[in-house]
Amino acid sequence: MTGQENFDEKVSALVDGELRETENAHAIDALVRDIELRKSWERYHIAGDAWKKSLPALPLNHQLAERVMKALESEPVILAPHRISRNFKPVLKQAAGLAIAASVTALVVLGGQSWNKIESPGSLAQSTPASAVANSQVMLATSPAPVAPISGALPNVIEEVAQANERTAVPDQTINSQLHDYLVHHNRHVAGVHGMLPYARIIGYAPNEPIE
Amino acid sequence: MNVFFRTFALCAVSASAWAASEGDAGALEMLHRMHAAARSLNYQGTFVYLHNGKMETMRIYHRVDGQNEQERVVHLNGSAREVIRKNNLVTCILPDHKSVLVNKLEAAHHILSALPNASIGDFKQHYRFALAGQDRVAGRDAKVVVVTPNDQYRYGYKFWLDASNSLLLKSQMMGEDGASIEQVMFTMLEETPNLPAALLEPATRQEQFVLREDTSAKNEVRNDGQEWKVSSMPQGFKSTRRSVHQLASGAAWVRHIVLSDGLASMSVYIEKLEAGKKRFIGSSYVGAMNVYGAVIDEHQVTVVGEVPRATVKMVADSIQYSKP
Repeated sequence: MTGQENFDEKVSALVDGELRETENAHAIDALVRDIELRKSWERYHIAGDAWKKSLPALPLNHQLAERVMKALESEPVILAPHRISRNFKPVLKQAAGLAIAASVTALVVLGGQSWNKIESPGSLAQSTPASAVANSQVMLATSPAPVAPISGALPNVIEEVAQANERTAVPDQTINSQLHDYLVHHNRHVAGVHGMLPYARIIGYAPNEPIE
Repeated sequence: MNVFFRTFALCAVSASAWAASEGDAGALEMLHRMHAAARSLNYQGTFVYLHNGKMETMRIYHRVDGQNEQERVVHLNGSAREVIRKNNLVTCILPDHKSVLVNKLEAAHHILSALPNASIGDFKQHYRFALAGQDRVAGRDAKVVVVTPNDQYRYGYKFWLDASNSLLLKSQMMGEDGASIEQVMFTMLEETPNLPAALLEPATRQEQFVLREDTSAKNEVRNDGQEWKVSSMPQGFKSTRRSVHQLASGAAWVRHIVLSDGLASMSVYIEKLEAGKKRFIGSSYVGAMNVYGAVIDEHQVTVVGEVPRATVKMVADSIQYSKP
């Protein structure tokens, strides 16, 4: 399965904006065609979007990416993605379509009662980029819960996403609290290289803030 | 403190005479001066704490008075959290949680306080210390020290020290790709020889708050839990403390093991899983702290620390229980 792994790595790098321009075009092209890779895209965008605070609670739906993609496929493709050119607009257009599909999916998937197991080598192995807007909520890794299907085509999905924004996310509060206790306890009992840093962490970390 | 500092100064001179790399010794010496200054001077300042793309501002006051050393860190934005330390008694006031946490701080076991027992050789294996020129922070001239780990199980650091009094002006913790994952930067820092004692008192009124005193200091059973072993940790890490705690009053007793390499540290928490209790498996993180959970022998094992994910995972996966 090296071919698959290789592509998975490329998908992950694409999500993190790390691929070079030519690889970008190639990866996007492959994404459009390969359903399995599309699911990868879903997964990595979920992992990426997990850093953000603003995701509402919604039931999981892994078929969503496909339905959205189908709707977007009816849009015309302007240029062949293989062309190496400074003008990346058509590639970006296609990429934007994918990005929309992926992030809509991410909005729906994340914030549900369960979280993805965050263990794939491509996602968390690297350290967090300084620019990443990360959730002050501690992320969970539990086994996935059953999925409630969302019916309807693209317009309904957008409506549901809009509605969902009014709700607050409910990650597992018990685990969240427990982890907060451990983190604060650790920083209360361990002196750092300079005395104030553990205290800054205790003060700066507030896990029970409402999700905006 | 003064005796310690003078003794250290002598050691430092002889240390740098024979040290293979003078740069290393000079850089480490500067960190020791930073540590000594932080403990012995009276000062106050305002700093920014950056983590997770979030920016917090805080204020710090530090006062030494005869035998007592006190410091107070106050949150300036959002909730009015404070941490106050008087000698080795730490009080965390969390108005948003309506709680006050009190505990005794164990003697610091990082390299900067391990002197004069630690020689430079101990740490050279795991970190490189280097002087990195000069800069300017909070309007003050600064000298820069870079600490680079020798493996992927630790984070690196960069420190900016005040050129005149060695107080910390700025610090960064560097992730695996060299990106800054946690940062402290003073925007104002001044030595205040006659810092008023009132500034070290809490500003929040604490009636109606729940007091959670960490009773482990009283009920601590040293070397309890010998049947739990950490079989694998990166070179240079040592178990420095084993005890039992109740993390919240009425909560279950949790075994606590502290592992440290002198600069970075991890806490291992081992808690018996009662029926219906939720489990946490896998990795997570909050800013610079990584967490890894595993279930071993019907116990929830959680490892947390300011180390990379691979490190907490290695430790958690290696925890073993063997009946004595």
